[in-house]
Amino acid sequence: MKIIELTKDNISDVAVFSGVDIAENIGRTNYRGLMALEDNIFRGGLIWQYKNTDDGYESFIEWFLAANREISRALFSSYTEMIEKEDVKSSTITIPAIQSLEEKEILKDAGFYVRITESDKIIVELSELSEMPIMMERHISRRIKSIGDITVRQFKNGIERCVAAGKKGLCEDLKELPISAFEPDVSACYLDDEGEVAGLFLFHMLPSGMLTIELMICLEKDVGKALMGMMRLFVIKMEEKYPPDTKILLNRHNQASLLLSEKLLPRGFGIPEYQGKRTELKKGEADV
Amino acid sequence: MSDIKKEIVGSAMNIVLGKEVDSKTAPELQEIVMSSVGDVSEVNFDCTNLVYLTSAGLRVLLLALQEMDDKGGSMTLKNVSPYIKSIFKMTGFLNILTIID
Repeated sequence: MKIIELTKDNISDVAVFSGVDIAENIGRTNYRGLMALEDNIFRGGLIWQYKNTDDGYESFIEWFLAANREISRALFSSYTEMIEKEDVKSSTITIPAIQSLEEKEILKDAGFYVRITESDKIIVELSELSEMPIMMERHISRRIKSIGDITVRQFKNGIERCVAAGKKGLCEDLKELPISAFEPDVSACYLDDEGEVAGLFLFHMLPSGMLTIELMICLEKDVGKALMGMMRLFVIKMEEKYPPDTKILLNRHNQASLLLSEKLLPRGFGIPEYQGKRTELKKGEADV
Repeated sequence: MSDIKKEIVGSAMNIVLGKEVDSKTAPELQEIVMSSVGDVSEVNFDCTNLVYLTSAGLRVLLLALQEMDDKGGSMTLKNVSPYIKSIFKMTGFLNILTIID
């Protein structure tokens, strides 16, 4: 058996197992992956993302698959070696909860404390967003524009302001992403009195055809009004371009996005999943 | 007056759900479940009367499942209508619930 690192050159071998949406992240600076091969046949894999959080530098495993426990042990052994070099404080893994206990036991074997929980991610259809109460008002402030209607300089300056304020949304590598990473028509921005970007509502089109929110931020005082305005523009532009059953992935990854989701989509519920967490110790440290 | 009924039989908690488990009734259900969940190894929900279930209700079920899952206990649901089953299917709950026909 051999464990090899995933790269842009070999990720296509794994995408059929991981799904194209996860696979497209290999190549980004904060994403890593591994695959296990036996006789050159795929037997398992891991894809994770490094993030700076309030608790320190953490690893979030976004995809895991192993044919058996031996493969799992080999994958996590290589994974642990790699993250040790990055000074990662803890690892979190989420997998869809299924009836079988096997995957949960495999994660426990790997040292994770595992609990069934509700996913942060919910998938809604465009038609549900069209029915939100805020869409009864269709007027868009002239301060709110699609990012396709602003200059690259304005966009980059807006990103710099967000990053300087500690706001990166779901993109740890936000500063490195080009404007083309986001849908130009439906992603929105909020302009301040000087015509500079002071708010962003950025959407990325996943390879599967689903849209995902990557950043939702406003740095102005009138945050609520600005965010609702950008959301309105997003829905109106989506209605012009996409069918009502177009799927949008919302990741309620922090309190602000959770509250917004609860307000706009009170019926939204994330699928049950197993979430595992473990503290990463440096070599030689004892877990006391 | 609540239409939720609870009965403890040995190490099992049997709960008969009311017509609706939504944001109004879910807090009471949660209180009823959580007040005894530490003392049992089995939670059984009777859904005969249940016709309406929202995300608030799903969260209570998930809480109960979390507690049972943590201690290696069990949780079942019986007499689940096709409509409620469709909600479980849409939300992914069908994969993790033990539904007795």
